[in-house]
Amino acid sequence: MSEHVFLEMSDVSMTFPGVKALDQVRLDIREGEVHALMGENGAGKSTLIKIISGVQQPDPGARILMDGEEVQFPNVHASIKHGINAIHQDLSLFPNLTVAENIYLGRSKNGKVDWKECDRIAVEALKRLEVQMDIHELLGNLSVAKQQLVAIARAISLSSRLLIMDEPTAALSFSEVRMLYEIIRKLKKENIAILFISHKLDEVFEVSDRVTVLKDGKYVGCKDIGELNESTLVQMMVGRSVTYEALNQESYAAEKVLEVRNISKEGNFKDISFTLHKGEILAFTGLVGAGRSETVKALFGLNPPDQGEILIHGQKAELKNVTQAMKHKIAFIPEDRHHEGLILNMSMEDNITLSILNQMLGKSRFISSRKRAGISGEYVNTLNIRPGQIYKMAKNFSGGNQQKIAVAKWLVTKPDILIIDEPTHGVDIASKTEIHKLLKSLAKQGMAIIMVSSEWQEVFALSDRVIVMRHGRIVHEDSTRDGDQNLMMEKAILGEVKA
Amino acid sequence: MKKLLERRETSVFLILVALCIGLTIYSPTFLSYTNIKNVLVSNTAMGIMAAGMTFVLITAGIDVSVASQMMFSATWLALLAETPLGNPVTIVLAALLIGLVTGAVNGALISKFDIHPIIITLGTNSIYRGIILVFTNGRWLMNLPKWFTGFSSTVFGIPLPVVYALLIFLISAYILKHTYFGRSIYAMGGNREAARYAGVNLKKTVFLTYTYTGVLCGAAGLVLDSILGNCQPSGSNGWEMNVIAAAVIGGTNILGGYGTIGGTVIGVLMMGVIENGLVVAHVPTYWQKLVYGLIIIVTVTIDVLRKKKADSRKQMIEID
Repeated sequence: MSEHVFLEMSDVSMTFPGVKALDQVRLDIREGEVHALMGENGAGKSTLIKIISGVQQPDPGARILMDGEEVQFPNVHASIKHGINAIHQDLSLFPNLTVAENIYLGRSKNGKVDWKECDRIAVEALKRLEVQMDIHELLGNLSVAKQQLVAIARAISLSSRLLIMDEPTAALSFSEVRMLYEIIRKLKKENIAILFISHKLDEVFEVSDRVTVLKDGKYVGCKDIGELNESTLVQMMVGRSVTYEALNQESYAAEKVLEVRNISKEGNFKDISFTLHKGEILAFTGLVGAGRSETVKALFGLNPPDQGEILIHGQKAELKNVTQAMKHKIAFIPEDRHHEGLILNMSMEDNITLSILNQMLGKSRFISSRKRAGISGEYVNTLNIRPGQIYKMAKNFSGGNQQKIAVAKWLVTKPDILIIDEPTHGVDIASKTEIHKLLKSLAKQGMAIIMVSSEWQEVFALSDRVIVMRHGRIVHEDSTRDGDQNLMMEKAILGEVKA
Repeated sequence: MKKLLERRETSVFLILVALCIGLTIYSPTFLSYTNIKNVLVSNTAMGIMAAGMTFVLITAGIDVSVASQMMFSATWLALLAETPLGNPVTIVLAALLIGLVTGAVNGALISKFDIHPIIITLGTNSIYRGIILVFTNGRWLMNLPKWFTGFSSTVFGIPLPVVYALLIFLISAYILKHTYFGRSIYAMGGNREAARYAGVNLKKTVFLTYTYTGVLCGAAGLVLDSILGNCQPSGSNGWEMNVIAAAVIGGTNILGGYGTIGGTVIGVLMMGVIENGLVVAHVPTYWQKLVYGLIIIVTVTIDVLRKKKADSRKQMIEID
């Protein structure tokens, strides 16, 4: 690794409608270094690498210098011309094409495809990785890990100076991760720089030379790996910028509403046991892919477990489908509101009353508009949905108000147990606080709430107890009042606490 | 060899061969020169359009205006042939040019406004047909000149329309396999976002795909006129469904990403042989539609079930 900085970016901003994904971010890359890009979910890491690789264009005013000269990356070809290529998170590959063509695609001479050249490039790229593979196999027939290797082979065949990887090890097993580290070291020797996004601290400390941290779309800092240890890095990532009003008071009753005993499902979660009390908010946290959503979906009959039992109010309950879960007065508000929670092209009233239409019948046995308007109006007031126009289409409300409509849609069923996945994902700060207060007041009225959240501050401000998951298992359970936040984070990320 | 056997085209081809053998045993006239020639010639226009449809389906698009585009070309060509400008050279040029225009209009509307192709082509399907019906008042254009029907004469025992179709199949297969445009079609149908990340110009690819299909429909119009010796502007109604069916039977994935010209040719022959076989076997023609429907559903269902089984190895979390 030399000290020579060949790529320098500054004042990089990126505005999406209503959101500033990146705000005056900077980044510099030295020749042949391994540079980690870190930050929590939504920090803007993926957006930044999309800009470097020419997939997205930054707001005007961004400065990008390549060897001291100002350049632009208006499209993917421009980046490739500068020797830069990226592997994006959602594997940017083609299941219907062969391994060789996946590596070759995008190159052509005068619009013609040279199949000999295609095979040659593929063989050479795989040779550099020291991977054995049938280059004429269809990509779709390979395992995810092998597909990842093809993606790397494609990227290194296109990148002579900088290879970018977005969470390259997310889908790899332990031995394949070792292999990837070897590849990274080899590329480094060839003086190719590597920029990679990762959530795994051990990985960052193992392979990287420098780390740049982003938070909420802003640049936090760039440090040599030698200057950092695991806790100082977590500190940089989490920061202390946003604080919520602490609402946790551990005020729940002793009455057990839900008891889960040793439920397991292959490839989803294993040996999950916990208890939920009346009036309690229980948080499930951990990294993305730790099995949290899979676990809570099991409680709503969407992902029935293979083993174990679930007791509701002390009685064994069967939760094989949503209808059974609803009979047990369980409600579930999914994370992806647009696709799973709301019907965007229907009015707020239609959405709110959808799950209780059979209770909306008038004397004539037809659906009574008066009943529906009455119920909808009631929830507009209690949840403070703005604007309170019940006939307006759901898609025309802001993110925060859409979330409230999704909540209302389930509150009308008067559940005993409310499961909510990432309650404030993609919601502005003001609405976040409002949603927090609403959940707390529901708990006070006796509802038992399970919340999945990746946001530590939210977990600590809102919940009474917290369960930390990692690789499909519960690794820690604690009360939020006397629990140690840093300790839990380390458990979620590392799986164990290093002394 | 193993890969060849795994392909969908192979199983459809084997069914086709079995069908032909069965028909020959049942009625030797099936294998006669006249009958074979008849089957091949009467399916050339369909086959030429199906080649274009294969391109469209691989991009994960659809074009329901192909039959209207063909009749649009056929009608103007029949009208042109009656004028002093009509001669073999102008007719060929006109056929390609008319197809180019109808296809380019489809392609431009679909790529420019990013509207689902079924909407645009449903619209243009009606518009192209409407224009020729208004212009001709639905009148049949009879007695095309001798030089026009000469396009479908037989030379050294080989009917010319079959030669045209073969030529178009070869060109189409070459484009799909050996050009950047062809590979972009597969890339786009396999993973649209990834194609964008790989630098494929999606709008241009869509435009070219529908334009090329239009050109083939224009050519199909010429072939149809020359075979029939007349032109019925309201004819060939519903052919678009048979064209789509032929491509799908031949292994083209209606959701995009997979398909070959060879497979489509087998699909066209399959439909042609079934139609002819029912006649040879003296089955009332009313059975034809029923049999088509069964063939489509059975072949596609087998394929989908096979794929589902392969996809069932879902992403799982590693529990340690």
